[in-house]
Amino acid sequence: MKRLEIDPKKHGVGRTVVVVDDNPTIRKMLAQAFLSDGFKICGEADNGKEGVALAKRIKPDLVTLDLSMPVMNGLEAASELRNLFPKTPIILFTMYGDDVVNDEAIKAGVNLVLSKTTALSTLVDHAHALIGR
Amino acid sequence: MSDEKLKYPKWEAQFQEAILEPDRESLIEKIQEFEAAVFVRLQELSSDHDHHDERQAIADAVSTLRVVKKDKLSYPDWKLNETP
Repeated sequence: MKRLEIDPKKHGVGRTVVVVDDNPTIRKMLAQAFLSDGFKICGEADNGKEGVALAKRIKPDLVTLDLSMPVMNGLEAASELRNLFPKTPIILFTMYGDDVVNDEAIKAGVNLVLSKTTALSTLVDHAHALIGR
Repeated sequence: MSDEKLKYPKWEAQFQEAILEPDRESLIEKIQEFEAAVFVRLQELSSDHDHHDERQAIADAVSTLRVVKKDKLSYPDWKLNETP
């Protein structure tokens, strides 16, 4: 029997995440960052509505949301997700981070707003901190 | 457009192509190309505390395209900085 080797440096082993971003290049980079850290499933959606639907199906440990998306933006999606999943951490990962967005995001149920200037490794570190709460 | 004439060759050409694009479907592609280029550049700058002028230029470009996405592509806005 082949033994499953678990890299202790990969903290995300067994975790699931949904990445919601309308830009496929950015979405793939985020997904790769989580999968490289050992996350079991990284579901991807390209707008808030699809992200909510996907989260209903896979019940992730964490959701990351872009802010500016077609159909349903990140704040609208966060509000729906918060109603559906009161304890699931939500990170808003955006190019539009400022105090106004932060305030609106917190009201919508977002746990953390991170600028897309944040290194992906730091994003994953924050994800672990939130999941581990 | 030659990259040699651009101050920020890693993303500025994509921005200019996006704001000049009249076709809706092509505009979506151009904006995605710009945003991907900016994201890659921001990741490069994430461990660098300099380049303040470029960061401001990126912020200005992103804000401009936010309006384009709202007005031309009907993206839902989030009422940022709107006065009652």
